[in-house]
Amino acid sequence: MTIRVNGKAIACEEGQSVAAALMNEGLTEFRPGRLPYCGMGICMECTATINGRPGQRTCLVMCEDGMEVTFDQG
Amino acid sequence: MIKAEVAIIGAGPGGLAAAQALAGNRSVALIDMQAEPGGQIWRGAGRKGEEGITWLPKTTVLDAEGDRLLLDRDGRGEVLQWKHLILACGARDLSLPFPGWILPGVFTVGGLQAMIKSGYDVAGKRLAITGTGPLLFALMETAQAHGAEVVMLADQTPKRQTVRFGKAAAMLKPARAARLALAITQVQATRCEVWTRAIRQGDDELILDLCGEEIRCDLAAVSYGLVPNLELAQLLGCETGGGVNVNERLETSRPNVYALGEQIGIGGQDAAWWEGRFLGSLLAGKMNSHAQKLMFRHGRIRGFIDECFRLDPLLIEETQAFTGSWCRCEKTALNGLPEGSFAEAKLQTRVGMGPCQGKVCGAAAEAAFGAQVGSPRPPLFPTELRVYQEALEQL
Repeated sequence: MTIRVNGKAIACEEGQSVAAALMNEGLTEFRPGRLPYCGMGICMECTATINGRPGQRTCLVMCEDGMEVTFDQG
Repeated sequence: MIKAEVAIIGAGPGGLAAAQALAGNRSVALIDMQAEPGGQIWRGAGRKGEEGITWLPKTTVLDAEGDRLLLDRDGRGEVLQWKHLILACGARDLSLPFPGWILPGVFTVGGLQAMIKSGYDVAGKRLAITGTGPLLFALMETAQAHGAEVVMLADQTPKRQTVRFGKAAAMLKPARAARLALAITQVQATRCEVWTRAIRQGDDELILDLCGEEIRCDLAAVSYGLVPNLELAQLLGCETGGGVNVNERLETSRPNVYALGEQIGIGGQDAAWWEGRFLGSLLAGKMNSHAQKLMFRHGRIRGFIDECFRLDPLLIEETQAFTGSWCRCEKTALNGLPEGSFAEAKLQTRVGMGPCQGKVCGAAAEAAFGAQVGSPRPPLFPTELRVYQEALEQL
């Protein structure tokens, strides 16, 4: 199963959060100088556009095959 | 519009227990921000397939109006009308800011725990866990089980206090206590009465200043216990202190609104579960005295956790003196607490005005300065105007 991050396909698993998949891929920042912090939908550090919907908390969203994730910055 | 006799906000142990006790007796709507039930602790391991439960995953409560809640249901605005409302919204980590707390690779303790449980691979990574409270040990176990090397476990609490708590917890759960004791022996170093003063970025690693001792690690987890998520309760006008104020029937100050679990004070999953069982039965028209007995027994741990893991006054002093970014969202300093008021600080510094709406730095200001953060403003979480409007139009 794969999701696409800024157009690039990355491998992920069922039951894995988008944030976890991105961290495992070695993404060093979600926005400039930041990685996820609270892991539970509070701090908003890990937000991205998912399937066209902006501001989604990637720590709360589970990976689905073919999902499109984009970051505006960084 | 969705209608439910009982709406339950939060599908952790307490919310699930209430839902199961109500299933088949009352129409129930069970709401959670996550895709699967179980809350932060069980994360997807909860059961949802009970008859008569309308399960609303990926759903965030945005606002409340009379007997209605405005929802962001996975990108659609909806309204839920309730007769009884159970607040089981749980808790979040308490952060106290320090130099470097914003660096990538620094997490809250519960946050790293949640990331690991949702598939973040920490195998081979060196992890330092500092702060206070039972959650430090829970993260240690999870991280070790997933192949991380815990290079430091440090609690700011004096050892006798941690031991006191450990003994009490061991009486309730001896098998778990034995596993924990074994896990601690695998940690390279444990410390008491020290905390993270600062973290700086080294070459490809984090360098943590543990009150003078230098710790090198790949990941750091720092939290000072948990604070209840009180925003919805406050928006509903329920009286709150350290948690939502309830009587012995778990009724809040607002009629037909109830609260349980971490909402009414940090007490762990067993207290939450039995409170859910008790309240669910009660709202189904049955007095469950077995659940009531266990609810009182497990609930007694509440004051005890606070007492054992009280924050060191020196740590509080250091936090008050911190001049870096107090607000992660806006990267602004608090510089003391201007005029003793968080509201004034917001106006002067933009602290607490970012996307998290002060959920992180406001709680920190409460803990460090005793500041009153004040009632939250809707929407309780950021959403698109379209979604909010969709919900408003259904009111």
